[in-house]
Amino acid sequence: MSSRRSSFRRKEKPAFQRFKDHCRHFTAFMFSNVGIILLVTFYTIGGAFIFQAIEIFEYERLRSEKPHRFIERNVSGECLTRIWELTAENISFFDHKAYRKRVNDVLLEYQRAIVKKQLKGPDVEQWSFSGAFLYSLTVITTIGYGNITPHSEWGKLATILYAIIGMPLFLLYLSNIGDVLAKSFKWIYSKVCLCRICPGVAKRRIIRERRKMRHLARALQMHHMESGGGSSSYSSSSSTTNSNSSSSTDYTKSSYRSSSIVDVAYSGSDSDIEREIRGSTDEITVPLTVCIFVMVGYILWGALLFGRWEDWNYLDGSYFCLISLSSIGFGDLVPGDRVITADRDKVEVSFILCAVYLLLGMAVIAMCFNLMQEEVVHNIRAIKRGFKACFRCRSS
Amino acid sequence: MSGRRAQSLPAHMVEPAKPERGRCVAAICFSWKIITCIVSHVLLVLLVVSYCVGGAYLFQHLERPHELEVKRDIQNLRFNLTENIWLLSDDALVLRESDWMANVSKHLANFEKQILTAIKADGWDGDEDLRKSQWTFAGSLFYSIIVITTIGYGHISPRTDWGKVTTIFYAIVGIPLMLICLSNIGDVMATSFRFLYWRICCYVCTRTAKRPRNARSRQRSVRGQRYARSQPPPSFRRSMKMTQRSGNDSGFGPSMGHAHSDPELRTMGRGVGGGYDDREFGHRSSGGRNRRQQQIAAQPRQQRHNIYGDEYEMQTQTLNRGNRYSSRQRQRDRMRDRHTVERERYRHDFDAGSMEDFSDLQPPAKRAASVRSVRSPQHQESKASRELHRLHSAPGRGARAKSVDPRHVSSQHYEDVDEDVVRKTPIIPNRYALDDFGGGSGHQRTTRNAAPRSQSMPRSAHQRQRQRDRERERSPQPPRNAGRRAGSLGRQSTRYGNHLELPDYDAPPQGSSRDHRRDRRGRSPRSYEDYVEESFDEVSLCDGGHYEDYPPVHSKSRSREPRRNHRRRERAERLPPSPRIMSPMGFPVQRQIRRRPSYEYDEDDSMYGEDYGDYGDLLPKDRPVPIWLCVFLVVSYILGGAALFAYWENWSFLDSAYFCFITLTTIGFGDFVPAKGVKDESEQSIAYCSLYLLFGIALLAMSFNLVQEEFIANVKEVARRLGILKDDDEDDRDED
Repeated sequence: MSSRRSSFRRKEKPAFQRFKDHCRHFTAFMFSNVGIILLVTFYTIGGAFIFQAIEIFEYERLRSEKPHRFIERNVSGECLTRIWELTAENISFFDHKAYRKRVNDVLLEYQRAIVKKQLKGPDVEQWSFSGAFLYSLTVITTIGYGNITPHSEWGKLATILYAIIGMPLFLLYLSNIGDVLAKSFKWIYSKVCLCRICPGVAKRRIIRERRKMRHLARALQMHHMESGGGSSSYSSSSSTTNSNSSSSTDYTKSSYRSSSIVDVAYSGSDSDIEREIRGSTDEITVPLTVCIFVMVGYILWGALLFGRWEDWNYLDGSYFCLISLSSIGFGDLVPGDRVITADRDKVEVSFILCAVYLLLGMAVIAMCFNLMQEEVVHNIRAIKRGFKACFRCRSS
Repeated sequence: MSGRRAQSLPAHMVEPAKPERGRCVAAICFSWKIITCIVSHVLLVLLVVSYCVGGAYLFQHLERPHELEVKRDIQNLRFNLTENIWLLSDDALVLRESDWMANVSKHLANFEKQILTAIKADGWDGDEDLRKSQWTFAGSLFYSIIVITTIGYGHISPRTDWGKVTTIFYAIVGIPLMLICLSNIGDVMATSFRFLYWRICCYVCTRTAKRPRNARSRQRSVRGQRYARSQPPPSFRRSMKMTQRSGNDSGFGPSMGHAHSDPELRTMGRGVGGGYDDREFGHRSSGGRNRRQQQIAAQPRQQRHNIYGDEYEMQTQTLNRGNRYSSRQRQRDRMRDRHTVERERYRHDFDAGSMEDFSDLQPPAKRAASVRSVRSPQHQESKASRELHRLHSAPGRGARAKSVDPRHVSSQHYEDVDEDVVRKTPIIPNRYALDDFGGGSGHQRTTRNAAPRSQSMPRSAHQRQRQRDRERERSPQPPRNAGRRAGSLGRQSTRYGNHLELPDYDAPPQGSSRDHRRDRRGRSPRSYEDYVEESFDEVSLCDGGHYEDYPPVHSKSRSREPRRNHRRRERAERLPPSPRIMSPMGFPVQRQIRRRPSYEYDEDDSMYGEDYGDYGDLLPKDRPVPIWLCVFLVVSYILGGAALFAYWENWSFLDSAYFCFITLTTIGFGDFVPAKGVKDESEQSIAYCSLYLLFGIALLAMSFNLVQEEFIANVKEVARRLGILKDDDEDDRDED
């Protein structure tokens, strides 16, 4: 916001002032954007430590209090023994059907035990630092995979409090970074796609619009001459010129404003146009297709990355990315799931990469929505202007 | 007056140059309104519901076969294992324990691995019963809801490729849809809740509430609810702002200005406002009385060296006052229609608020008016206006000028009444549609009312103009110091008048007024331009409608402009409905909307920003419900849900509360999911849960909606104290 403002006012200020402005806005940038990234990061890391500590502590406490819950039953061994007993005792008469039925029962029991153990959820092993980091990230981003969940009461309470503070923080992060990204993306877009290809077109467009405005302004002026009883002075007419021009065009508006104060009445000189082209970054809207393309590209890129890291296929990767970035977060696919037992280091890396991907991706999506909305608003305005022109033609 | 108004309504429909277009626009607006009403409420909800149901069928169709297949696979797996063991035992000639054990354990390990794969990759829930399925219709419906609300428990998730692809596209379409729907519902709920709150909770304390609120607005100056009623705070604030803004204006203390402006204005307002009642019933006949009243009213002004500025301020005040009075009057008239007593109070505030809003929006209005005036500067003088003119020409100039006001006031208030109706029309979640529609319908309404009010205006405006010129000639040497102060204050308020307050109703024509202002104030044109363009920037989104309407009679356009602006502003302010917590996707949408005002606030440093901070409280429907109430509501909703779920699902209370929180914040871990334990009543509990979470999210949206305006205002105030750099951070953070 502030830098946008600076771009409005920059133009008529001297160089020193401009430099000072730049410095100030750089500081503002540091405070608002980099600061918020650091804040989110530290908040997440702190949350990771807190949750890890709480969960492990509670786990230990629970284990010391109720040790019988944590005795690992050798399920497969039990099952094996029972089947053996069954076999040994039935070996004599060997009733085919009865034997099968009983073995099947034993196996069913075994299977249920496995399922129960599996579905009971992850144990404290998962509360490694990276796991806790991902957990706190999923809390504040409201993704909530649910692959790691707090089991202790204090963990749940801490989660609630953590979320209450963290989610606004994250939204602030999103809005800030989304703004910054949107601005820079717009800048890049304007540099790459517009200015290089069609500066002449832009210039011509501006000239055309100015002509239109001047017509309008002249009409206005005449009107004021008669309605104001001759009291309308030069300044008023020029001011109406400006206000009017800004009403009829909005993307040249800001530069008009700045130029209007200094050189109100005259317009259309080359330097003015140059200035306009140069300063028009704020008014450029990025087409919807580009935004959608960026989003899809980001998701596909993520699919590629995760496909490589996690051995997912392409569909799974994109599915995971979309589910994560839209903050649905089913948790059926979670990074680090496959390799969690194999290699600790790799787990850490994939967790961290996933976190970075998520943080960046949400900002990118926010950016795209920013840009898309701007574009939509702009389009609607244009449509309205068209309507306006239509009706005006008919009425006059 | 009312009779005349009634006459002029149809007359006006035929009157303008292009009547067929007027009718056309009216028809369009009316149908558009109806359509948007239908769209906004019924259709949207129906759409979401049908989307969910369709998704349920789709996912059921896609996923259920796979699930059953997985279950069958598991069964087959076990039978195979049994078969293997049997073969192993049967084939062995000698049954040696160690060999047998080794073989079987190998098989068992394989079996376990396969089961784990089935659980992890295929989402097997451990149940073998083929008759039971996770992907029943209810389960699929729940899944659809979970997806589009972005909760995403993950207790059931698509396992087939097609299911995943479908989920992706389903989410892409469904999430925005759900956001729109929720914000719509939240908006409606917020409106009704606000209404309920002020009606039920505060009806009793209406009388007593006035004083505290007054005091509050006085001391805090951000809460401008009683702005018009308690004029002092604004003048106080504004003069303060003015002094800090442009040094050449006045060096007088804000409190001084306040002290001077206040009593005078009050008397003025009361006098004219009192006279208004008569005028409403028989305008023509009561002219003499009006005149008397106005002369009485004008006396204080005469005492204070007719400085033109006073008049402005006075008129502003008059408008406000009269407005209120008239609203009461009108209230009585319409009581049996639908207005209740406490609504009156509402309106009351609303009028004040609307006035304040006008003042905010004046400049764009002027500009728009001037733009329009190019097209058709001529105005039609109806019989009524001529009549009024005759009436005007009798008394002294000041009184004459003033006598215009009540008329404006009356029509003004008439509009206000209508405005109330308008406010009842549905809120459309889609901002763009909203703007479109609002611009159209609002102006439609205003044009209808514009005719009686405005036809006499240009003349009176000219008179005022002349009078002011004359006053300027003779006034500049006030004998007393106090008088001088008052004069300068008046000048200040003149500027306000042009800028923020509403004297444009009766102000001189555009160009000249601007001229005067510029001459007198010596204010830098630049800031004004900034201001104008900024404000235009803000409203330009929604101002499309008013260009399309009747061929704008100059005066008419001017007089009806503020109303539209007001509507615009109010719309802009209600624009951000708040699915804030929904998802990051919902967020930037709002963020963008919010950016305009604050950006504008940045641009135009003091006065507009201040007023922007105010506006949230001004309108009765936008009057804030206390934050604690919303927080309390949400917390109690969570706790109530916790109790219910603890009862239904046999969870502990903490678990239930945790579940409710995780659900409503759309985190959705999925470690607690309803209907996971009790399979038999799964449909029932799924239904409960869906209802709970849908309503809960709407409730959250509602409370955000309710709270945000006041909250933002508060935060802006705080942020302004902290400095501009910290401003954005602050309000962003708290806005969530």
